[in-house]
Amino acid sequence: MGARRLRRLKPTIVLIAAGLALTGCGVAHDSSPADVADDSASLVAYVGRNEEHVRPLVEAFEAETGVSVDARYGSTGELATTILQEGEASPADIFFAQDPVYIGALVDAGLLAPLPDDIIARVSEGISGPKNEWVGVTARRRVMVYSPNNLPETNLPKSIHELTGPAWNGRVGLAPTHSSFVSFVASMIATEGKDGARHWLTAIAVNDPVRFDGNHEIVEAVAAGDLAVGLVNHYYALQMAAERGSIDASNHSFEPGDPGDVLMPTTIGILESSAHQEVAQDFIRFLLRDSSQKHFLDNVKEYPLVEGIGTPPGERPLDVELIHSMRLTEVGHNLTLATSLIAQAGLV
Amino acid sequence: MTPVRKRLRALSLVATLAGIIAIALCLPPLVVLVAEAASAGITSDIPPSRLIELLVGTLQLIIIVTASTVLLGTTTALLVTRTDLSGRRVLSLLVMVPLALPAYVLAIALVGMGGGGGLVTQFTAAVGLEPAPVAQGLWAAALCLTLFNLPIVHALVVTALNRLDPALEESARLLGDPPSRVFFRVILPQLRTPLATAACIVALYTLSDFGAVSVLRYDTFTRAVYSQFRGGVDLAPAFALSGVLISMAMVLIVLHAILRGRPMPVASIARPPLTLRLSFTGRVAAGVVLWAVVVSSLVAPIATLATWSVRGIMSGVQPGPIFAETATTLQFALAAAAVTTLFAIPIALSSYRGNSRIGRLAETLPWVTHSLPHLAIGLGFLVVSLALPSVFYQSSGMLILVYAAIFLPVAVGAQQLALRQIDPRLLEVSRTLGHGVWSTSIRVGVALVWRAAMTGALLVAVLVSQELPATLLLRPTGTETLAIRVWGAVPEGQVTTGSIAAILLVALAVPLVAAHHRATLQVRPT
Repeated sequence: MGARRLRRLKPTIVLIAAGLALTGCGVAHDSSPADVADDSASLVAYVGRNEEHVRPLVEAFEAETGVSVDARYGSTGELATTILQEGEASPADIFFAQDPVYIGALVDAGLLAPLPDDIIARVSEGISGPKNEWVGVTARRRVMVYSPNNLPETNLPKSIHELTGPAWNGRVGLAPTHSSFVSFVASMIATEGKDGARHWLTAIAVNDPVRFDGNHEIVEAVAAGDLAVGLVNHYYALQMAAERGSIDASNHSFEPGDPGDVLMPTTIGILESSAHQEVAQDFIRFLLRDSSQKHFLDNVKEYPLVEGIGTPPGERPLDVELIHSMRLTEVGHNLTLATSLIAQAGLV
Repeated sequence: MTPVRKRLRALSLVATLAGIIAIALCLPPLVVLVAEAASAGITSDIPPSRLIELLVGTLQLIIIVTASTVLLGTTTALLVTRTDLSGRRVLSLLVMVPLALPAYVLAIALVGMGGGGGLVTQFTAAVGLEPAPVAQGLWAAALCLTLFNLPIVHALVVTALNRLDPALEESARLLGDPPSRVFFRVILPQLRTPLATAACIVALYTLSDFGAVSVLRYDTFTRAVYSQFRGGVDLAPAFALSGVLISMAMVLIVLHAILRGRPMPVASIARPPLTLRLSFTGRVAAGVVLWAVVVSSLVAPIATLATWSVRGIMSGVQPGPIFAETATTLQFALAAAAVTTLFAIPIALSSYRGNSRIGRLAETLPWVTHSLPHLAIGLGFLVVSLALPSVFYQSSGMLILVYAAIFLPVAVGAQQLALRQIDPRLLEVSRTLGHGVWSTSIRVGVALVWRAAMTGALLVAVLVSQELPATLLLRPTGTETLAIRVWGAVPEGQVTTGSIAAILLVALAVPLVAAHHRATLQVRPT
């Protein structure tokens, strides 16, 4: 016994001690924000957007205000599901979503608090929830990405309805569980009716599309020559071209009025249950500042919704009517129907 | 109180403690899953034709992966244990090193190799060949999961082969049987149980895999459960699909349980058998097989990940806060390992000496939780943690408890192995020297078991650092781990970031696996 035994036991003791210390620290550290006495010190934001593009703004807000923001990054759908499960007990103060549809489900569940008028007034009129439960931050247009080297632009379809034809069998990339696709379907339900949307989904599903989890991988696949075309948002190809000089992937727009030509706002709202309404509002004000809007324009290549900031390269100037044409108040109620139709078509 | 009664009381105390731990930790998610799946019924919008497609796709993958790993793993095991191939010990080790690579890391490496932008295409383009195919769908998933499961089968078969009584094989050969006949008539029949066990483990893993099939875009039931969770805002369809998934898993789990009960071949005298002298052609063929396995499961993936990482760093890609994520991953791994090891002690002890019903329950329950797809268990725990007071929800403490619930059998298994090797006479001696039950347990038990417990703890740490689905569902807000980073990088098209995170994840596992390997070598009786 004695020293030798003790020496041999040391790693075990260290491991167990370290484990216990860490567990202890962890539990203490993660006490939910509601328990924190200092009301202004922290925010919990569920961010259903690309972490890379939002983190710089979160960090800038933290540096400027001294408020610490715990951001949970994930897909918009996953986080909306989580909040709906959490209900009133949600630790989240803010939900920053990719679209007006998933946040619409939270509006329907009565989980969001109305935003003050000065926030709503920052963006072009009407890009907000029915009772100001959310406000638009930026907008993205639905496009079809293609490779100019492999496909001459003249051969590209004018409408998404053409994509269900035999010429496009096995050549179209989709991200059917991604919130931007779900939103597009919700918008199609609003404009073409439930049966119109069902018809298109069923037809595209049997046309052997290539299913992805995210839009970015679709654009990568097109640029690499692995896929002919894909239904995505406009900024992916712009970002990649900016990063790499040039890429073999361009955006093709469907004809105006086609259900495939939609401009969708990204959205943000504050949970009714949040004990930090004012700080949360400050965070939204921060995102709607000129400098933050310029970040979205310059680095993400999205449309800023605050006027006078600019237009993404190669895109038309912001057409607010195009956003309204997706019928914002109506699409907010279409989520369950949209996801059902997508599943029924066999795309999940 | 008489010593005997005192001892019985201590034992039943340990068994009760074990039962409480197992029930409190592992039962709640099972109850939730069964209840939710039952109430969800067939609420899924997925049409029957699509369900059948998913079922067929899942079974196809299971059959291909199981058949190919069993064939390949038996071949590699035979080559390193029964031939005189030079360098076979090193090769055997190299075949097992990929145990440190989680399946989704292999998957992201495959993504980095194939397609128009992949590394393989850059080679083929240089010599004017067609671009390599995109790593997606059935073949990619089957290849990835075969490479992932191969080391497990190899290790199991090598262990089994080492335990066979060599006298039987030698007699057959002396009687003039050619090597192939010796294999089919003598070796193979004795390998039936270990091979069936291996097949069960591989099939169960393939059914449960979430990361690799997601990265490689192959639809199985597990992936569909997650798609339902991600796309819709209603959990019922995800639970309905989980119900199907769990039923499929239970078949394999029961089969595995039956096989576990069967005795494995153990030679009374373990000595190395006579090795087969390979001809020149045999030597070349054996070398080609083993090196092909090592290259495709280890060298090529690591080289791909390293190339993408280096290129990305050179071109100034910002991989995000990966060092903070490495620290988080390590913290969770060590904390969970410590907690799991502590929880495992009473369970291992109660199964060692006691034969109570509660002791058996304490052993079986965690094993079922461990064997079920972790995505389903994660969904179950999500509901459980929502029902608990809000401090538990999305807390590090809760996540560590979930890890403990999932990986408890790993720690228990390691401790049981060591306990079984304790000579009962040592305990008797200690007792006759006047030490009480507790003193004896601590002086003899702990001294003999601590090394095995450490081994188990290290293994738990590695598994926790690589765990994906439960982490994804239950991680505290603001904490990302390397596993989440690797998985999340692919849909964003960030192969570089994913590769860097994957390399760090593997780097984290290597010292732990090495330490584990050393410890198991020392535990093994000579």
